[in-house]
Amino acid sequence: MEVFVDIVIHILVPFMVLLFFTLVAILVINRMIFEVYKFRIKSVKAKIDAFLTALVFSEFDEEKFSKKIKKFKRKIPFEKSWCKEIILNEIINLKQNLKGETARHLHFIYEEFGLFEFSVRLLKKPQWYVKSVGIYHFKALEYTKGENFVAPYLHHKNATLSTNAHIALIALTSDKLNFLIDYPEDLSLTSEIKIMDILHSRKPPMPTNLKEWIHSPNPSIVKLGVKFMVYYNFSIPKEDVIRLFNSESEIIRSEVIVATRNLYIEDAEEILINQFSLEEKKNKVEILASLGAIGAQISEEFLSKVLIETEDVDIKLATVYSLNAINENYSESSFTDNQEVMSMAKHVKDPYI
Amino acid sequence: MILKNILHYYEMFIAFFSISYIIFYMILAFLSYYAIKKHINARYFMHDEILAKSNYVVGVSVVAPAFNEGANVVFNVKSLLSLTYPKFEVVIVNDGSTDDTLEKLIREFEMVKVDFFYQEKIPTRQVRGHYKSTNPVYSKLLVVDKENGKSKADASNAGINSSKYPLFLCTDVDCILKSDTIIKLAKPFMESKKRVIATGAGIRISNSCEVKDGFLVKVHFPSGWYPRFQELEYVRAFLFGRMAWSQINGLLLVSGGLGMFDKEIAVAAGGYWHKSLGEDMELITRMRKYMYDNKLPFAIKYIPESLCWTEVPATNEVLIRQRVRWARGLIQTLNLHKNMFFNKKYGKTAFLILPYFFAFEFMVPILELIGVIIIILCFLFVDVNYEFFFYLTFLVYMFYLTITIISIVLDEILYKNYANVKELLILLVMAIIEPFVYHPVNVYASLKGYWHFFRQKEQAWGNMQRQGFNTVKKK
Repeated sequence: MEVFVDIVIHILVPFMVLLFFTLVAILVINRMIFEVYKFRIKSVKAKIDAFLTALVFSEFDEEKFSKKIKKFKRKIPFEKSWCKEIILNEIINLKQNLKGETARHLHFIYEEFGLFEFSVRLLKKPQWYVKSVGIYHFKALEYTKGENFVAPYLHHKNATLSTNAHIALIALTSDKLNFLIDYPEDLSLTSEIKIMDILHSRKPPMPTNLKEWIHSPNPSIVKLGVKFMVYYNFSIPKEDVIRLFNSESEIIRSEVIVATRNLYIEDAEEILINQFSLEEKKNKVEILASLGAIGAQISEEFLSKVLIETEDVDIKLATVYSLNAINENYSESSFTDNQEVMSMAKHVKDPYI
Repeated sequence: MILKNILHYYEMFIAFFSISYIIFYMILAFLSYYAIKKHINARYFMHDEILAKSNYVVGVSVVAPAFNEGANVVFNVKSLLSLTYPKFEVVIVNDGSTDDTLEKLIREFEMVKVDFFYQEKIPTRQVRGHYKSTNPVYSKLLVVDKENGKSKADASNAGINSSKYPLFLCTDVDCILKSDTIIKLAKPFMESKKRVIATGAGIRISNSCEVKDGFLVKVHFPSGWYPRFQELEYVRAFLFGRMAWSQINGLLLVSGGLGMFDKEIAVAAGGYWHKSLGEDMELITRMRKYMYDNKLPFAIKYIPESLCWTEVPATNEVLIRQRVRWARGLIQTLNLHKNMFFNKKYGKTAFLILPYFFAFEFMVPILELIGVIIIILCFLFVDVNYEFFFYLTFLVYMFYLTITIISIVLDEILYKNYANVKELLILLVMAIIEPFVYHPVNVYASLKGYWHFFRQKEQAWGNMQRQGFNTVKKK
């Protein structure tokens, strides 16, 4: 007991007191440094903003630009990383808001400031997240010369870094996007969103091997392939639709169901009807939506059968939506004695819902 | 002799309890640091502006129950409608308000009653009708009018039943959300490999903030004593505790003021339990149970960013009422799910999370009371080593202070939420006096809550008397 008392009084209590005051010191000093730097950073940022805006909107002349940048670098603490980061963020910001010739001058400005070397230095750091920052610079600036620096990370053991490299390469490469077929990992929805965002903004040519994507052993690539086909309005052959419907992956089947309506594949009507009973609820609802978009007489008959047979209210409501899309008066004329269906029909037809 | 034996065993128990408590908190500190670092490292992976304009995102319904909110409801709804996200709706549930909440909504947003096909997937009190705006500008707004169900849970359930998107964000109508709240909370649902069933984020105190037409104009440090103590409490709880639990997928609580949920799972688990006084914790516990029962892997994530500002109790009376409710909710949930304790089917929820909540959340106020009584008795009847008593008490106090200041340091390094050194020093003073001034009030409220639970006292909507914001006058 005495030993314990001794430890408490002579070791633990002084240690805790010391720790507490150290933390207080860190807290206060950190804030004071921030207070000092806050105004400095603010004033440097204002200078950078004003300089870059004036430069970008002035007439482009390599020599003049180069001289102005050199002179400006002496007016700011350019050797500091935070200063480089401010310039980079501002250039990226301008890049995202400008189009055409003016935007292309930003690459020259980026190089003249020596920021390309800064980005490459980040790529050489050991931490994956610092490398990701470097990759981000190239991607955000669509700096195609960065392509060769990004490529080595395509198969990096860190999955996030590898995904970042793949996505950056989509934005940088002048080649077709054929390389994506070799992507080994699962793609999250956010990665898909990023890829589709680049697709919409850059509008690259369609990969020549797109047909092969939907044969990939990686379900993520099959799914992405179907999405690309919708984007490029590339109609999926009927035999491929059937094959993909037999896929074990629910997400692939779901993507194909959605694609049938987005690509308006009328041939798929019968396949969708046959597939309906094999699917879980989520895909059933998607099939109903697709039938509503591409269906005709056969679908109308099928949907009215579903409406009678199913007990699931969500499926019933989705069916009424589809029936309404095919034939506006169908539910009202055929289900007058069914109160539930009538209520659903009213919901579907309400102009404000 | 018997008294001495009892005291000996009590000492042993308290020593074991205290050591476990300290070890737990030290582990939580490391986990929290690691989780925050991971979050910061991932910031260059997905930029919010891409999600803000994408057609491929998952849709979100913002569900906000309103009970007698006539004074501010129009501004608050406008604030919710202005959130940035490409696919969302705002579902306001008028829970049988006796003031002009519904009339104001109908008038301001040009609403008409619609033929809404309402599915009561979660049972609620009767829904009287649904309203949609005739003005396309407000097409994202849906108002659900229902009979009062004496609980926020019942109103939220009606909103969930009426929502159309696969994710729903539950908030209070008077909460002020940051414009990118939906993006931040929805992102984990879209990037995680495991199925994410709920997400939450930091909540801050809006008592002294400047608000104009439902929008936060300027954040101010709280001026009242109680809000300041609660500021400290929120920083500690959100940044320290919840981030750590999130790191090991052990979150049992996503705040009622701000939480996003997977609708399919929430509905399958039965939605909010209308009799619960801690409906947010109870829902998460039930959702966890549902996932374990169905052998489905899941994750509950927490974001170390302040996305919501809410008014907290500013007076003793209102604070005690709120904390009584929370304490009662805690014991109610633990009691309701007692079968999960140490049941191997429920994994870490059974062997770590629930026991932690029982031992270090539920038991602590009781042990504190017993401790105070025993100390007094010892002073009176037993020979006490006063020097050791002083040092041991001081050690516990220093440990508490260190934990609190780590939270403040983390918050300061990450977000610089406070305006200057003065505000930080005020927070520090609050931390120093908290155990003597604020903590006893909390202990009293918790014990009162437990007492109410055992006496089965009738419950009501957790309605808080609001003092209103510092409104910015129109020029």
